[in-house]
Amino acid sequence: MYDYRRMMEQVTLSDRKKEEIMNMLENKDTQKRRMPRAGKLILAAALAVGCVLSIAAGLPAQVYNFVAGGVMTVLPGTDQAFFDFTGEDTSPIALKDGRVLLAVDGQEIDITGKTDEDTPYIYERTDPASGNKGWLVVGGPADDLGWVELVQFGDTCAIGGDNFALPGSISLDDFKDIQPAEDGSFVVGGEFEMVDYPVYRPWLDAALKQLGLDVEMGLAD
Amino acid sequence: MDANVLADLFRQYGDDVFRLAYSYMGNRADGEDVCQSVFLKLAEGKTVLLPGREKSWLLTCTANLCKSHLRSFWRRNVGELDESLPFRDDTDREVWDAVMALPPKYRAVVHLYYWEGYGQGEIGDILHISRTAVQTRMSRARDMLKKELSDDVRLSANDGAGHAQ
Repeated sequence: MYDYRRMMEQVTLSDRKKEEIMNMLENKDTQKRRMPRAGKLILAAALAVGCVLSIAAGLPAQVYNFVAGGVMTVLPGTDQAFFDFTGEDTSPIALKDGRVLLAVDGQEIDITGKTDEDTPYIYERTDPASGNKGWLVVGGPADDLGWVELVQFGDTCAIGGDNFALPGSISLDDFKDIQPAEDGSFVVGGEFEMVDYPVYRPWLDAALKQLGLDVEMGLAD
Repeated sequence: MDANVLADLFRQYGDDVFRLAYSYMGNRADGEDVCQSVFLKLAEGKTVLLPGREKSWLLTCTANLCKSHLRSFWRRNVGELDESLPFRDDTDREVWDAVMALPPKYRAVVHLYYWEGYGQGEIGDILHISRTAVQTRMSRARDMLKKELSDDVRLSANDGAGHAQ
C-alpha cells in the first residue's frame, strides 16, 4: 500500500479552510457556521433544545406531558403533532455534591456512575395525566452529561433534551425562532445559518437500540 | 482550552484529522467540514485531553462525526459531492481510486491501518468496534481491492502497521 500512502501524503486541508479554522480557534468563534445546500426541511416540531419528530398518519389522539415541561398532542386522523412548550423548561438532571441526580415524577434517583459515553441510563415512566409511556435517557460522562426524553405513539416518536444529537441528524437550536406554517409544520429552505453539532452520542444510539426506537428527522422532498 | 493550545493541536494534527475525514467522507468539502467540527468540538472546552492521547481523541472524534454525517439526512438527500482532489503526482492513482471506491467503513479501516499504522486493537478503539470487526472489515476490504487492482499494484497484507505518521 505504498501507493496509497504516496497519494495520501498529498491530501491536506486547503489553505482557505486552514485559515478559517485557525480564525475560529483563535477567536473562539465557534457558534455559527454555514451549512450549505440545505434541502427543504419540514419539522413536525421543534422544542427548546432540539426536538425531532417523525410522523405516521392515522394515529389516535394521544397526549404526553414531558418531565422537562411541555405537552405533545397527536390529533386523531392527522399526520401532525402539536406541542405546547409555553411553560418553563426544566432539566431533569442535576449535579449535587459530585452526585448525578435524576429528578422525575417526584423521585430523585442517584445515577452516579451509571452512565458513560457509551452507556445510557434509561428510566421508563408513565405520564400520570395521560397514562402514556415514555422514557428518560441520560448518558455521557459526568463532565459531559446529556439527556433526552422520548415518547412514541405508533410510528410517531418525539425526542427532546439537552446536549445530544440524534444519530444521523443535526441539532436544531436555531429552529427555535422559526414560526410554524399553518399546518403546524416548520419549513426551512435554501441556505441558512444554524448551529451545527453533529456530535455522535453512542449512549443515545445504544438507548434507541435497546428501546427499539427508530428516531429520525422528518423530511419532505 | 487555551486558544494557543488549540491552534498548536490544529497545526500538528489538522491534516491527520482531515485525511481520516476525507477517507470516510470521500470528498474534500465534507472532509473539511468534519475537520472543522472536530476542532470546534474541542474548542467547546468540555473535553480534557490526556497527554499523549490527543491524536487518538481527535481521530476518534473524527470517526464519530463522520458516522454521524454519513447517516445524516443532509447527506442522504443532498447526495455525494464530486470534488476530487487535484494531485500533484497521480501516478499511483489506481490504488487510490480502488480504496476510495470502497464503502466508507472499509475505507476508514484501511486508512487507519495503512496510513496511520495503527494495530487492530487501536483501530477498534477509535472506531468503537470490536477487534473482530476490524479484522472482518480489513479482510473484506482486501478482497474487494484484490478484485479491482491489477496484479502489479496488489496490496500486501503486511505492508501496513508500523508506518505511523
